[in-house]
Amino acid sequence: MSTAVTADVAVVGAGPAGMAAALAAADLGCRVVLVDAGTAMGGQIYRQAAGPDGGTRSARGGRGTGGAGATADGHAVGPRMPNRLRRAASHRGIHHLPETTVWFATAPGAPAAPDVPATPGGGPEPTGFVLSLTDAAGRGAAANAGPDLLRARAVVIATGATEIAVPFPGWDLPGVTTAGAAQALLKAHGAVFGPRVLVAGSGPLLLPAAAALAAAGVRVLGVLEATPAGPAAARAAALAAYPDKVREAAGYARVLARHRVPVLPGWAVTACHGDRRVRRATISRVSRDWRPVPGAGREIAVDAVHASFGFSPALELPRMLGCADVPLPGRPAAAVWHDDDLGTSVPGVFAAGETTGIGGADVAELEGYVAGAAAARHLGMVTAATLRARTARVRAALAKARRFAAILDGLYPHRSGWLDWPEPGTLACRCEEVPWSAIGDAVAAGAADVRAVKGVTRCGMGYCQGRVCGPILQQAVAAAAGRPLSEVGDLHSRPLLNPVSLDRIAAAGSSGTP
Amino acid sequence: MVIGAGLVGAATAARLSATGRRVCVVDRAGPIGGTTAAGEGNLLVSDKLPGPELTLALRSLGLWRAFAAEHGAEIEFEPKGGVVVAHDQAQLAALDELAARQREAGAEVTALDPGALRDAEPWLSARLAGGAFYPQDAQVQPMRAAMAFLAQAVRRGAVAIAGAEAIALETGPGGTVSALVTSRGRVSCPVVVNAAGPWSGAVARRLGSDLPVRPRRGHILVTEPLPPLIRHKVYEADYVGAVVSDSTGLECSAVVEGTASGTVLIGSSRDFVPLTARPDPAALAEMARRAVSLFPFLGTVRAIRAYTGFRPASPDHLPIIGPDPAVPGLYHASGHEGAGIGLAPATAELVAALIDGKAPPGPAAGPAAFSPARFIDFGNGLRPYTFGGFPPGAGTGRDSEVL
Amino acid sequence: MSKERVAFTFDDVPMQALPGQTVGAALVAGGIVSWRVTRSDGRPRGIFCGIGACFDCLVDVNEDRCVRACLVPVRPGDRVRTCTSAGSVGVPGTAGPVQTGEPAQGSQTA
Repeated sequence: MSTAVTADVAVVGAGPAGMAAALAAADLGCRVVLVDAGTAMGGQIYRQAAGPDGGTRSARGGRGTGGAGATADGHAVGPRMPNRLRRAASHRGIHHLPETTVWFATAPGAPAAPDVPATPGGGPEPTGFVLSLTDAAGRGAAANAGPDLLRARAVVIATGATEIAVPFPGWDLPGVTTAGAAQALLKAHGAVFGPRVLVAGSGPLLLPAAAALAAAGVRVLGVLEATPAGPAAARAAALAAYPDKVREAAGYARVLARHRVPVLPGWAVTACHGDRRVRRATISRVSRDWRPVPGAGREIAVDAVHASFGFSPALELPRMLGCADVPLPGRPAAAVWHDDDLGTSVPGVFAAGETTGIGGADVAELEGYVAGAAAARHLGMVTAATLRARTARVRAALAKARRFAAILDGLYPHRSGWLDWPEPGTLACRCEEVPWSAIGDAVAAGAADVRAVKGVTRCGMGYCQGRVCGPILQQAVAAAAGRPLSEVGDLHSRPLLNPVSLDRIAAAGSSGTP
Repeated sequence: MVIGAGLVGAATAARLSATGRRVCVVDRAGPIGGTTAAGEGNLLVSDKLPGPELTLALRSLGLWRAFAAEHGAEIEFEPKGGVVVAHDQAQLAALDELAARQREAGAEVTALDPGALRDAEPWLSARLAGGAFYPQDAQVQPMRAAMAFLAQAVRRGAVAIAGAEAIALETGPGGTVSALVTSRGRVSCPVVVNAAGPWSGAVARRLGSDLPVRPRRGHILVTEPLPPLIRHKVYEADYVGAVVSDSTGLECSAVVEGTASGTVLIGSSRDFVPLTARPDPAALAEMARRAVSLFPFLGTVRAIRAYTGFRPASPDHLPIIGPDPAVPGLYHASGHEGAGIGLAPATAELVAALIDGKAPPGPAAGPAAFSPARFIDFGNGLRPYTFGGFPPGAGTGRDSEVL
Repeated sequence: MSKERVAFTFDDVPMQALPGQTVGAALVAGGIVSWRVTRSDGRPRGIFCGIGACFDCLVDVNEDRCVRACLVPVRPGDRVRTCTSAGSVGVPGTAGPVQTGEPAQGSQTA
């Protein structure tokens, strides 16, 4: 017999977007259920340090400087959760379901062709949403004591993003991780690989990640940013309107300088070497297109490599509910379409944060606020006029924050020269251990899109269901088939959003879902 | 011209190009974009009622084995055999009776008492009444198999064009096919084969004819990788009942099998819904419940994926293979409803023989039984066949035009 | 401030975690970078994405098989074991702990 919990608004994801949305909706009188995979609110960016002293432990012994959430020189291990969001943990209108994830979502009463995204403002409205829940870590019955189903009249999707990974020889060796993994381990859990690491890739995440590691006592051998340095004057001009952001970046630069960490624009890690873990890395100068410059590579000894190439919004839940999405130009990613109220193309479904486009924590929180208030308006808790009035200042701040995010996005374009980094035996799909050469072979044999290549190579059929290899496959297939990135398909659709036991699937059917 | 680069279309193209004809396969998407990619890869005799379909299946399995002799590893051909299980004595009696008739018609089948059942599948529930073993049942990876047939066709001179949607047929004197118009251009040809799976009805209507093929949705659950615990295709005895049912409601019957990669595939469901419908959690729940009742250990195993596919269903549950009664030069190869993978090679063989005006090789599968003409009422001319009780509106052109 | 530690075992070797640490973080902090091998090529894996998306970090914890170490908090007395890549099946006689290459670095010191 399955159990259900009911809400006015279901918020999925408790990062800054989800927390802000939950607060906005609850403050306007909605009963909110906030579903989150983590043990505590905050998402990926606001991670509360583990342990009473937040001390670090290195993967090679040794110890970093302690201090809860900060290091001895006062530099924060990561941004602190703003106090205005902390209310969410104790708000009486918000019921928090931690360590919980959604594995299926339906909008009963949706239009007759539910697979076709509803046009905004048109068509009959769904009468209610049903989200099927399970333990986020995929544990057994003991961890699944919570409700099986969540019924809500509106949904806010704030499920964030995953990092875009780029394959190179040896990227599957233990000790090679994403930059986000290094940050997560350090911020929340005080754990680091080390002692010698490289931070590499492209994008605004590299500097803060490297600074945090350096401040925690890790010997960061270098920060390798694949994008070459642009004219300093142009950059300064673009960012002049955001002095707080400039200060923040300068802070990272200061930390790195203090720890003598070189920052190398136009460089990349193009291979890793080792038997049971990474021992050495090949670093290479790269062209503007990220192609390795011949003869400009060297090998250095490392204990870990942390690489990040930008983010891809998580689209599986919006897609399952029928929300339209739009490709992010020049990137193997897409974002949920939304209107000015953060409403998606499905009435009653709203989206906020990285899901709508990579914008960082500021944009996420501001969008969350509008989305939560708009959800309340959708349910009739406030009028449209009240919604406008309450969100006016937030919208102005949001517009400005979005402009900054756009500038940042433009500073770190995603290039295709990394297609030269993998060797034929380099893994394209980590889960199913599919070699890079299999993709080219499949396209040569006539597979013309991501779905067909997946079908014959098994890329994307493993546990991660394309979360890691999806963007890789999309770019590789587009290049091999000579087709635009946006036309070869992707692996974002997931008819089971997360792994769930057969017992639980069977139990969810006994609830009499309409 | 072959419309549809799924398994039936690919096998047909391979066969036709072996007879010296110039063959072109078109698909509005790319290869394996439709039902083929959603299938389990069943090559079964066990679920066929004695009659033309069982005969065709036996012929087709022989052709599969011949193809696998050369391509077996590439297409993951596994002659693992099928085990059909009965929950109680009544089901067992019905299964025994069906098995006897199938045996008479040439299928190999051995009865299994509960002890023999557990020997065959040690992890099966102890509460089953008995079963039957069909050694001829086999498994392939359907997408790889389709690509292998397509590659064979191309080696024999065929051309495959992706992104070309069939739009219209041009006919010459006598109404014979003279060209196929696609979204990527027009091709002069005397013969067109409609192998468009669940879209065959829509395609037939575009080509000036009609075909009573309706999409019948199925679901599959895929588990995380496991050690090899399930040795055969295992399914419930009421599976055959579900196939031939005309019910428009949801029919579920457990089908469970392991794969080479370690995942376990769990089916099956059948319902008539528009091609645009989403997966149905009620179907997933019923399939999961039944699978766990067969293999209790599956209860704590996690599914990592679910997907739907649409079988091309015909009104009398037999494939539709043969010349169009109204348009000379147009042939149909569709309506296989969940048996398309297994029947593809024999379908291709039959189509090629009919196009060449010859008798099909092997034991006569009775081409008349599969003829599209069987749906015509010769007194009144062409009439669209309707399913008993099918919901109004669905099954008309609408659902297929929303594609 | 007292520094409580959470005691657990990894392949029967005693280890300690900070309160709230995930299994993955505790293992990394303890010098262990891989606790599983892949099922085709037998290659070692540990943490890759750190947020539960990549499923590289699968580990067995008590009765739960193949759970993501980067998501599961350590609880006192947890028996953590190398994941045999065999999924959630308690099948007697299947492969036991698999070599991950490097032995554990030993227990945590204060």
